Amino acid sequence: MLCTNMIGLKNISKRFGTQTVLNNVSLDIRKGEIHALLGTNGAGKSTLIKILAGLLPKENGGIYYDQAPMKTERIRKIGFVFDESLYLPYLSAGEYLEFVCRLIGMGPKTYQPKIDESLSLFSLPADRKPINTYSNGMKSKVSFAAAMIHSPEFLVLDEPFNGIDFITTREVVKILKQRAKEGTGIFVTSHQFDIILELATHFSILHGARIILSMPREQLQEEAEKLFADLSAGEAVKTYVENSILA
Amino acid sequence: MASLVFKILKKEGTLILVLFSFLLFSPVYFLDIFLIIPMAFFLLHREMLNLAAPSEQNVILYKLYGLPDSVLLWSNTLMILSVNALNFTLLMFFGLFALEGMKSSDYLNQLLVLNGVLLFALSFGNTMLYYRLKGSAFLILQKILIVPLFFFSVLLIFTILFLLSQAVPTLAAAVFVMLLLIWLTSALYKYDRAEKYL
Repeated sequence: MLCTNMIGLKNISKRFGTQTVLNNVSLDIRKGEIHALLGTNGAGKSTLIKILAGLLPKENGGIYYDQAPMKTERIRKIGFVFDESLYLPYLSAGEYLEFVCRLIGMGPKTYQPKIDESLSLFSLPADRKPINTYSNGMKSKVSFAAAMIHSPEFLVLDEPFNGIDFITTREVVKILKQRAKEGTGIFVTSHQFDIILELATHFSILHGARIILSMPREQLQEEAEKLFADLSAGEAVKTYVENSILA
Repeated sequence: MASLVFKILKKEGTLILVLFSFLLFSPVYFLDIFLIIPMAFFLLHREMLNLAAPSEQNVILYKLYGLPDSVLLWSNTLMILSVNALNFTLLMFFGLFALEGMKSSDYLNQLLVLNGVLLFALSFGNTMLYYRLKGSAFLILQKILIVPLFFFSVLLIFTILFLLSQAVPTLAAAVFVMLLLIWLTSALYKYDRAEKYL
């Protein structure tokens, strides 16, 4: 069946020196789903996302958007948030969002209402204070606002909740859930399993440079509950995932 | 876009501070008008490299969202304008201190050398930017290599143009035209037209 509205990663491989970080990794991310990529530290999750963003070259494999090779104009349909917040420290939140809109190719009439809306959605200041004076949580919200300013069809988030307080995390999770409901595809990696468990509708595990498990939430939950009937649903999934990695 | 580019230029570098100290303590008033050129490049190299071969965050942004022609064009234009404005100001001060005044042929020669080196520096920066956009955004080694390479090649071009302008001015003019064409090619190259991105 020909699947549209999806990002396809096909047989992606990457080596750093003699170490193989990704070995023929294939994944599909569909619109409307929240796809969580889990794995231990150094499993290659961030490398995969940087390859998807075009920030790192890959050894082989292909990246597709609606079955066609990904090109510059397509990558603009994706919003990225990385583990380290991305912003220009000396610009204010509004100026930074304006710069991003200009890079995307929006005109002032289009971007000004979007900037106002984003600043209000993420409770960011509209004054001229530079971003480097913001708290970590606010800096992170700037990254989210920039990634979502052009209403992308997909959001790719690499450890987006690192170093953010729980209130900001709750606010962001709420926005992400809303976006997914509206049809945005979300691909997320995080060590914070509880948040992932709350958010994700599809789980994949990257281990030993390969995808060892990839299934929808219902299927994963069903299998986990069969094996760990004595645990709560969340604990069962957690144990199932841990055991998959350990095995 | 021009105001944002100017803000990046101003904030990522040290433009205002170095300009003031240079105006106050410059040895140029007592030496030679050509000394302005390497001094100006020494002072402004951060601004040139920050926009033409920018910080990692800028490279990531350009890789994610593309590099519009306007960013490159504005950054190059602002550099050309600011270096020439700096040169003009310094020459004005120099004129006040020079006992014999300044010959117009000397001034034209100086402008030719200055702008020749400037066009080369901007072409160098633009090329480095394209190179970084094509490859990895994260290789720190590239940044470490870029700065000394920039200084070495800029000084080399300055020496060549300076010697030629003194001995064979026609040849210096021909080199200038060549540098102008190289810069135009590097500034007008459409990064976004690259079909295959990933």
